[in-house]
Amino acid sequence: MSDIINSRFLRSLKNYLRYWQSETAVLDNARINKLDPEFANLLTLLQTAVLVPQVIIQATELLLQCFFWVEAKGHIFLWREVAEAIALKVPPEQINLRYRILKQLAQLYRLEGKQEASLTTLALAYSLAKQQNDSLLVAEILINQAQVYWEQKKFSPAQETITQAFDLLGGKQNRLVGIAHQMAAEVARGMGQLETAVSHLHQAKTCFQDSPHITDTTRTLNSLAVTYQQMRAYDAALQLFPQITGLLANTVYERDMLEAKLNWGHLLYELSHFTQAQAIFADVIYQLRNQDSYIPFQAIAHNSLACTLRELGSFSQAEAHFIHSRSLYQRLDDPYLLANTLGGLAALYEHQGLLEKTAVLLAEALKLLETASNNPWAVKLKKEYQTWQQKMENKSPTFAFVLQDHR
Amino acid sequence: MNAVSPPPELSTNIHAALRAWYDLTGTSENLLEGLLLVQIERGKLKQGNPTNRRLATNQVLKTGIEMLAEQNSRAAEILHLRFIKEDIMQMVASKLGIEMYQAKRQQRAAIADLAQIIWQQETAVRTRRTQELLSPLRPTKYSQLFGIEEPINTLWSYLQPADNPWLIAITGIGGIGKTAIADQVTRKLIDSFAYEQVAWVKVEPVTSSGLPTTPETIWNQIGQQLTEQLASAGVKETLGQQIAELRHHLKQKPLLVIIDNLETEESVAYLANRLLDLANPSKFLVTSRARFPNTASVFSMYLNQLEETAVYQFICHLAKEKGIKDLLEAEQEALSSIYLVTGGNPLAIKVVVGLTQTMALPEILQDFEQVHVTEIEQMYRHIYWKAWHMLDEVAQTVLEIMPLGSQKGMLPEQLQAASGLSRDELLPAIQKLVSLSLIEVTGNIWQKRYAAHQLLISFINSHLLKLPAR
Repeated sequence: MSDIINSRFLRSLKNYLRYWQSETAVLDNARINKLDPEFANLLTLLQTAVLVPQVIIQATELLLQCFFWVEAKGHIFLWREVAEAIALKVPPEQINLRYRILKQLAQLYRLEGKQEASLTTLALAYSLAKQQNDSLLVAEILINQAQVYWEQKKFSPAQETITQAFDLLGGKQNRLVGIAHQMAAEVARGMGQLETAVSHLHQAKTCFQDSPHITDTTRTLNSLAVTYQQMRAYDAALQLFPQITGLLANTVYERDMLEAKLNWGHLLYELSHFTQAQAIFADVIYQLRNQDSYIPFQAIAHNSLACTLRELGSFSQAEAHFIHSRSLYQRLDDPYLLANTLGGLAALYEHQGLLEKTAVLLAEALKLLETASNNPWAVKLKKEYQTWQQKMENKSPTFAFVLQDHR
Repeated sequence: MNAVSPPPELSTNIHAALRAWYDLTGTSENLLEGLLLVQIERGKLKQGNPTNRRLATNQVLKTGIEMLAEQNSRAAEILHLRFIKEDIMQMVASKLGIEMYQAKRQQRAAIADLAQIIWQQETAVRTRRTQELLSPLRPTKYSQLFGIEEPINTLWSYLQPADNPWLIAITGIGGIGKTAIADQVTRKLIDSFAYEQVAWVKVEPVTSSGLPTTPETIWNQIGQQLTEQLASAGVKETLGQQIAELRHHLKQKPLLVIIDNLETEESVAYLANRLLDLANPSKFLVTSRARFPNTASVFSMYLNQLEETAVYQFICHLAKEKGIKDLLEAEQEALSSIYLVTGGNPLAIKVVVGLTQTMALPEILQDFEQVHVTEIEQMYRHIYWKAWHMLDEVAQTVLEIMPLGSQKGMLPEQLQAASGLSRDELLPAIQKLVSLSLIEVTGNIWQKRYAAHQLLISFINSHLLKLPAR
């Protein structure tokens, strides 16, 4: 098809790609905010460019260059679609380019909550990194894989993978090593090794000393705050969140800001400061109202707000948020987090004495957790729910009766 | 009728209303139901029982009589004694110390004055209400519409409140005039005060962040825009909360909501039941390229091409607008040939008329006769080929670039960067393409954007650039 595309159009297409490459060469806050109204035009350009083999390399470079913008503004879904299309068209001999586009595609899948797709894509990128005999490229993929495992709460494979990455990175102090430490801290925290997590985060801070990316610092602080929370060093954690949100204020890093606020809300919830937590979760939900790409955050935010409202006694509102969270997790196809939300809703019903509804939801949640053997967090949740179910069954004949139909 | 002269039947109806002051079994006339003032008073009373209906009418009369008292106390007193105190005419005459015939004459004059006062109030209220109801509508893009009487009348009858269908859809191909007709019928409904509130949601082809819409984002757009236009103040946290509040609002009283510019069958399938859930007594008028299934609750009207006579009127109108003298003076035969070729499709007519500025009509039309155009896409293809061949290289370069931009439109600097043209070359080319109705100008006084109709984009992609389908 492409060989009959007229040369005049081809020239225009190349010109326009060059224009966008120049426009997006430096993507700081001001630039991203200025360019964002033109996002649809950029997307349309790439959607057309993907049809023209003569410009695939140029288009791929442009696509890779815009990742910060896409991540900052949450344009994940449609960007991922165009990245998928372009990844298929990059010539096989362009090994490094294919490696980079697949790595980015995997990140997009992860941000969308599609963890299995992310792992599959990272496996492809891994083999391309190996082909290039570049240990740094391999390490990058391993860090990405660890992050996906961590998001799946599969901490053992995450730890193994990040250890392999450190082996390849050596004892250097650069940004990539900093990111590896950040990841290692998350994994250590997930495994309950809190002191180790703090140590990794301090090392990450050192590595990021000269980093121009504000998110390197804020992500480290965010992780530190959550770790302090788990160490019950609540004051230290509480002090960090205003610092993080202050650093992120007036930047384009909306996703980081939302994540920090969600964590802040969870800390306040744990401290039983429900009214403050409610305000934060409601704010996050309001910020997310137009962001279709942030479904995982939306699901968490609704679930968290629902739990908070339940504690505040606003049952009907809590129910609405649980139900919305449930529908979002169903879209994400994440059975364990869906089970978690169902458990939250079941607890709400139990609190209201609605035992039939409680029984149905608990049974549904446990069914989702049936395959939880490889995920420690899900296994723990399953045990909690089984104990709860047993307790309810012994206590209430109604509960036992309803349960018979739903087992 | 104007503020000074009330409609002739108003005095008669006011007389009947005064006589029925204590009558709960009212008629439309003696309840003065045609007056917006009465509707407003009814709105203040929660329940619509016979007592409240009469009370609402009496309140309008009472206010009128009080105002009359300020101008002419004797006239007000006559009405008060005669209809509120229910004195017989003889007693009224006796109380006022006048003859019976004088009392009768003064009562007639008092009713006429009261009608005048009420009509002045009515006119003021109507003006204010009309402005309020018109505020969600965008300024009209058309100066005149042609061949719309029949669809407007059909829609008008289905859009009367209080009964099925609750969702009325105007469907048809792009460029056929769906939005213009929705706008017209809405204005007509506003004039008759059929609805207490009107909201207009323009579904944008891209979201605020510039992404193409999905059914879910359209639902989000509808929720947000309706909340802004209809619901009470206060930020709603979630779409679910917005919709719940809107539902409550739309169920309270009959409102008219126009959802303009649904494009896909997917959106129609996603939204139909959601909108119906919000409807009754409120109604939804939707414009859509995709058809809605006709059910008891949904009436879908497919908009056909213009009738021949309307096409002639439209061509003459365009010719006047563009100053194409030849076409204005053309014989019926020439106009008829345009009708035959375009099949009465307004967008196609616009392009053909644009072409006549620089091309002889037989040249434009000759191929159509040879190939027996039957499909609408075929027709557009032929028209666009004609337009393409009469463009110079610079304009062709610019037109070819249009598929690189979104429906939001490209900025001049983007067109310039892509085309490699200087500003002096680019601007006349844009002007040429606009005059031929090949590209549309959007934006505002500070920033202009240029976009082509989706039909033209498809043509450029498949026939000029020969790009594979996306």
